[in-house]
Amino acid sequence: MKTPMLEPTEVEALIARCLSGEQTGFAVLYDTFAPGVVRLCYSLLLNHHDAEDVAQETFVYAFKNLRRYDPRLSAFKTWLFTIAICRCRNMYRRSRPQSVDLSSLLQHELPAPRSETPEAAFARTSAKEALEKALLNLSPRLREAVVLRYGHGLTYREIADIMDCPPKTAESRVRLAHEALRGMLHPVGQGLLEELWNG
Amino acid sequence: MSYACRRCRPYLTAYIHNELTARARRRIDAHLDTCAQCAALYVRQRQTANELAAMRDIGAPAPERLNAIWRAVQAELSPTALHTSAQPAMMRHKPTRYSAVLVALFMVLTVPMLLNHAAAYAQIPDPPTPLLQNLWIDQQLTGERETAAYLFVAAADATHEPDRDAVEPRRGAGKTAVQTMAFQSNYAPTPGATDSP
Repeated sequence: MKTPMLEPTEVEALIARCLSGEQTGFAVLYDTFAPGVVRLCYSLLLNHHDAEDVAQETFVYAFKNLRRYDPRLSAFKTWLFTIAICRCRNMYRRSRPQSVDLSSLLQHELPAPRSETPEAAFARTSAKEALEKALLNLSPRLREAVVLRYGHGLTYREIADIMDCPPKTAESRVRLAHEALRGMLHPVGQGLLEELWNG
Repeated sequence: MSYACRRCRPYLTAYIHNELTARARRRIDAHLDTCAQCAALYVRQRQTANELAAMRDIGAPAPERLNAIWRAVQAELSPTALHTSAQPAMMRHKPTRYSAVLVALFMVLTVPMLLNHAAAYAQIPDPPTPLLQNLWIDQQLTGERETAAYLFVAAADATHEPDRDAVEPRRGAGKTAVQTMAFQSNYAPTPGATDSP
């Protein structure tokens, strides 16, 4: 599904339509923001079933409480992401043992582009799987920060708003996560050499 | 690690993403030109950043999954769902069964209370009223004073609590009646005898 990018004024107009009782406004809002929310939930939970449940809860809560949204405080996307991350944290707290998501093993969500060679497609899939494994080893706070930064391109100010922390904390979390991922994604020897070099 | 390196490395990520001010960017540029260690670190960090760009592909949902989520959201937001969600969960799932249980519970609680109330009302005893006293009052009303006085004495003996208000106005009449009755009982007239000597 192609996600149309909306200007903040267009989003506000859509919200006004929803509040006036127009049902099509909800559908447009969903089409605009659902892919991002589902992707965020999956990046944090690394389980398709849980991610879809959390995304559904997020939109139900957001649409029921649309009157509470204040465009002066944050963008609608930031507000939605805040709700989604709170739901994801609730999911962590259930402390369910990590289960292997068979659907991710049996199917690839993204088909390779037509121009992509099989080798390139294999390398891309391998990189994605390696990245998922590395994310799984990060602490939840660092994972949230790096996913918001690299997965969704948010600024440190927006990350700080979503994670309810100062921008400097958000920045340092992104940096720590970046360094941790660098150690996990690169060969061990390279990391050791770097450590020795840094002294 | 020198002081300049410690001031440079925390900002490498922001430097890669062009998020620094012009002044800070010039400072990092100058340090990377002179420090081989930080320059190598910058190259690897930029490579990691490129790898992390694959994060945009992680978890991208298929259109059919998005449609399924939208249907679930619509079902939860529909007016009927909102209406039923105001009811307790058990009433939403099996309303008939739980209504029958509620009616049975109501009857179990209220029927014994009603029955007990009726029994208590029936058990209240009437105050005792001697039959003879009632008869004496009837006799008073009809004017048969002698019979009434006899009956009054008998009733007073039976209850041992004569009603003073009822007795006082009729005391004289009562004595006469008793004397008459004693005379009649001790001296029974013999056949052929008369009252005069």
